[in-house]
Amino acid sequence: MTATTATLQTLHVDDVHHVVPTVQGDLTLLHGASFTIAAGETAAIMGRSGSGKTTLLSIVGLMLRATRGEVVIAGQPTSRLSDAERARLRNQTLGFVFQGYSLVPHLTAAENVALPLSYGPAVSSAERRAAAQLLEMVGLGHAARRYPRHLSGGEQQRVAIARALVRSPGLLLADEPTGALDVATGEAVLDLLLDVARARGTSVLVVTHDEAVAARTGRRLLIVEGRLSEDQAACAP
Amino acid sequence: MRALTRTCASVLQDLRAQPLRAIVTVVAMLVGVLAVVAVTVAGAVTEGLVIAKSEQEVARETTYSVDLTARGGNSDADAFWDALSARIPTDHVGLAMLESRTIWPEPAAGLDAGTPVTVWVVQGDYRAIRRLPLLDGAWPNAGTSRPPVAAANLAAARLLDDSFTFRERTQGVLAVTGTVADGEPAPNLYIDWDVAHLMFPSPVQRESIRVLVRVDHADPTPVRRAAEAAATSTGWTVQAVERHDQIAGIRDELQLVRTAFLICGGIALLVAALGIVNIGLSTIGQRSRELSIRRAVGARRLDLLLLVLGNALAQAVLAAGAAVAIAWVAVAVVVPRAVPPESALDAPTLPWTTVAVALLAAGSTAVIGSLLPAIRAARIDIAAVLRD
Ligand SMILES: Nc1ncnc2c1ncn2[C@@H]1O[C@H](COP(=O)(O)OP(=O)(O)OP(=O)(O)O)[C@@H](O)[C@H]1O
Ligand SMILES: [Mg+2]
Repeated sequence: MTATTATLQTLHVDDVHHVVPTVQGDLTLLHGASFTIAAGETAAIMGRSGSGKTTLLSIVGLMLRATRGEVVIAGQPTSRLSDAERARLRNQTLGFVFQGYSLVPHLTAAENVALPLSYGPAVSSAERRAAAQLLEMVGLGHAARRYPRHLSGGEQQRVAIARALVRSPGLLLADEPTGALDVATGEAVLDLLLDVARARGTSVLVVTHDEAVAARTGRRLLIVEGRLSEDQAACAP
Repeated sequence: MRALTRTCASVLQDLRAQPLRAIVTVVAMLVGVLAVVAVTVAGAVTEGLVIAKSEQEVARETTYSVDLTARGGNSDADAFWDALSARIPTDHVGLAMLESRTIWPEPAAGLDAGTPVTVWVVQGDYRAIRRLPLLDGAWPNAGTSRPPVAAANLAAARLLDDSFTFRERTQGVLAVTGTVADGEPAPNLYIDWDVAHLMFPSPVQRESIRVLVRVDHADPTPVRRAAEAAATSTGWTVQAVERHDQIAGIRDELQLVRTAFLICGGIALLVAALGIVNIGLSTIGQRSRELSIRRAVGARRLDLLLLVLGNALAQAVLAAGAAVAIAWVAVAVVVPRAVPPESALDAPTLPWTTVAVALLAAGSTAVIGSLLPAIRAARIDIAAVLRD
C-alpha cells in the first residue's frame, strides 16, 4: 500500500467525523475515519450492527455530508461541492448496489439499467448499446423487458449490478449486497460483482457482516463504535 | 433542449408508476378546467348571440341617431342628405335616413281587410347599420322598374304574395324581391328612398327626419359637427345626437354575469388544485424510495423538481385537451340547436381563446397543485435508500 499517488487513488477518506443531534444531545457516529482505496482495489468494511458502516458508506457515496473531514473521489475533494456537482460525481464516478428493493418498480429491467443515463451528460448510442450488453453480461439478457416484480431477489441484484456499472464508474459501493439473499444466491451475486469489477478495473468497497464475503476482497476495514481501523489480523497475504 | 426531451421521456415513463392516480388527477383537473372553459365559452357564445340580436333589432355598435326638425316650410330632406353625405367624417361605416309609412294590402292577397304593413323608406346603406341578413332574394335597389320592389321581413313575407296591390292614399302595386330577417314580429317592408315616389306619388311634407350614422369610434362630436353644418345650409335644426345602439350596455351586463361565473370557475380550479396537492403529497410519500434511488444514481434536486412538475403539466395538457374537446362538441352540436334558424344568425364557433384559457387554467392548477409535492421530492433524503 505504498503507491498512493493521486492518480491511482480512487477514494481517499480523511479524518471523517459524523455527529447527529438527538434528543439526548449530540451523538458521534464516526470518530475520524481515514483510509484510501487504490484503483482496482477491493475492500470490505466489517463491523457489528449499529457500528456506523452505512453512515460511512453514505458519506463516501456523497449521499450524506460529513460534519467534518474530507472525502476525495478521483482526486477531487468533495466537501465544498454543490448538490448538482455531487450528483454529477455520483452519476459519473460512483456505482451503487444496495441491500435490496433498489430497482424502480415501474421501470423494466433494461430501463432500470439505463436509469443513470437519464441524468448527467449526454449519452452516445454506443453507451446505450453498452447498457444492453451489461444486462447480457449479468445473465439477464432475456429479462430486459420484465418488471422488477417479475424478477427474483438474486435477479434484481444482478440488474442493480448492471445499473451500477452503466456509467463505467471508478468505484463501486455496496451495502450488504447479499443481505436479502439466500447463501447460494448471495455467493453467486457476489462472485458476479467482484468478477465484473475486476474485469473492468473498478474499485469496490463493500459493507458486509459476512466473513465469507469479506474473505473474497483484497482488504478489510473494521469499524467498532464509529472508529475505523485496518483489520490487520485478517489481512493475510 | 436535451433536458426537455429527457424530462418528457421520464414523464411518460412516470405515468406508468401510478396510472390510476394519474387518471384521478387528470379528472380532478378536468372538472376545474371545464368549469372555467364553460364559463368563457358560454360567455363568448351568449355575448355573440345577444349582441347579434341587438344588432339585428336596433343597430350595430357605435351608431348615433341624429334627429332634425324643419326650420321653414320648405325644408328638403334630400338636400340635407346630400349635404350630410358630403360632410360626414370619412371614417364612418354606415349612413342611412329612414322614413316609415303605413300601407294596407288588398284583401285579395288573402288578408283580413285592414291589416297594416309598415313600409320603411331607406336612404343610404341601412344594412351597414343594422344586421339584416337576407334569407332569400335581393335587397331592393334604386332601379326604376315598375312595379317598385321591396324586401319583406318574415312576418310580411308570410302575409303577402310576391306581387300585391295595396292602398295608401292612392292605389299601387308592389313586388316583393327578397326576404330579410329583421327580428321583428310585425310585418315590415323595406324600399329604396329613390323609388318611394313610384309608390307614393304625393310625398308628405316632412317636419322631422331621422338619420343614423355609424362610426368606428365612440365619440359623437364629428357626427354632431357634420350634422349641424349640413342642417344649417338646408333649413333643418339638429334636435339631438344620441347613441342609438345598445351594445355597450349589453356588454357591461354580460361582463358582470361573466365575472360572477368566473369566480365560481376559479373556486372549482382551486378545489382541484387542493386535490392535486393531496394526491401529489401521498404519491411522493409512496415513491420516496424510488426518488432517493434516482438521487443516488445522479439526479439533481432540480431533476426531481422538474420530474414532478413535468408530470403535472403533462396531465394538465391532457385535461386541457379533453376540456377543449368537450367544449367543441358542445358548441358544434348543442348550441346550433338553441339558435332559431329564422334568426339567420351565424352559428357561433368555439372562440380560439378557449384553447389558451384551458391551457392556462390547467397549467396554473398543475403548477399550484404540484409545487409542494415537487419541492418535497427535491428534498428527499438520499441516504434513506440505504436504510430500509
Ligand atoms: N440521523 C441519525 N440520527 C440518530 N442516530 C442515527 C442517525 N443515523 C444513524 N444513526 C445511528 O447510528 C448508528 C450507526 O448506524 P449505521 O446505519 O451506520 O449502522 P450500521 O453499521 O450500518 O448497522 P447495520 O449493520 O445494522 O446496518 C446506529 O445506532 C443508528 O441508529
Ligand atoms: Mg447498515
